[in-house]
Amino acid sequence: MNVDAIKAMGRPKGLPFRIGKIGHVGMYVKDLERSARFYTDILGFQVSDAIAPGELPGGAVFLRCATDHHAIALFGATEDHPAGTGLHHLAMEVPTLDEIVRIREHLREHQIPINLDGRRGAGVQLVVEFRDPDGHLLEIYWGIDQIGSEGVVRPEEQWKSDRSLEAAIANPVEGQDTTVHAARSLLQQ
Amino acid sequence: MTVPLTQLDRPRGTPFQVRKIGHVALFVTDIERSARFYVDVLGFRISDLYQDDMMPGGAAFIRLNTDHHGIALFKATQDRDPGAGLHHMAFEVGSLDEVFRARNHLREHGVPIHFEGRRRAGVQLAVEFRDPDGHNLEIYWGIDQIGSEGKARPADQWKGATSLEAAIADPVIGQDTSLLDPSLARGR
Repeated sequence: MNVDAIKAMGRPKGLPFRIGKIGHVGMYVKDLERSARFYTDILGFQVSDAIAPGELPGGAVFLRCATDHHAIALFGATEDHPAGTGLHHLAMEVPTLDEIVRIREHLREHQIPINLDGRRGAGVQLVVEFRDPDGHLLEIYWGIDQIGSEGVVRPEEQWKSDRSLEAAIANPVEGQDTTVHAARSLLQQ
Repeated sequence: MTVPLTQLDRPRGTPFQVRKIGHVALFVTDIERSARFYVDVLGFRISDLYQDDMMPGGAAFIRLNTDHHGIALFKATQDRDPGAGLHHMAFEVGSLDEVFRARNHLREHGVPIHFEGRRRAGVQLAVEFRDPDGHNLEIYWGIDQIGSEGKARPADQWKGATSLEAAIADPVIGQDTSLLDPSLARGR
């Protein structure tokens, strides 16, 4: 490891976005119920949504610790993805939808393959997903559902999974303002 | 699944509240290559490095807001493949008292604690334990904040401690380790 080289690294000037926080982490677990119980009973998280293994291989549970729809997502381990050391993905939030559009462009300019852009189901955030040099799956997102004191979660029939930002923007879920401002020219017409 | 998982809920009276995911540490093949990616492509900044003498293979602590680190990169070892590798994940609580309460709570639930005290880079007070699949988790309070001038605390101010009591007895500069409820500390 070249310490001097790493210490000299700095944020490039003019990056067209700023990541503000780590929003959520997805992990593979062996037993969804056991883990969901641990994160609720021991750590005090609350369940926002659960997806049965019939709908998604292994199933999933989404848990919150604050108002974001999920901070932890548990995915049932499968043969390809054993439990334990397994990071499913790591998600980072940007404050505006324009930045999501700009990040997609930025990744394309850096020739970083994009795994997915569009809208996720549970949480309904708009995302761009890609991998870091070791293959860790990263998500940059905007617009995750906020869950208030009453604890009411958006009903599943309002989810709209879209497989491109253009489709997600054209087809917002209830209560989501998908207006793009200055980055509009970066969208496919 | 024997119960609908959506019915699981936070038990009343849980003696702490996790506020956010503060940082995630990943195993990587090449720290320099990954640091470049997180800095050049994603716009993060380097806060501190551990060289080989502090951590086999080294580590890089990278920030994305004022928290000393949001991402930490650890060199993958023979046991730990890069890529799928979560080194640990850390949850912030809002007060030092809650770190102590979390320690008691974990003990009461028979969850083994494998570290408590103060970490070096970041100087947060923490308790560390594992989830049912063995993922390393940390509950912490008091991580260093790095302002616009971009200066991280010099390493000679770090005070690694291996119990919460030792950590509060010997605070680092600028860290107020008073407990609102002093009876939470052992030996008081």
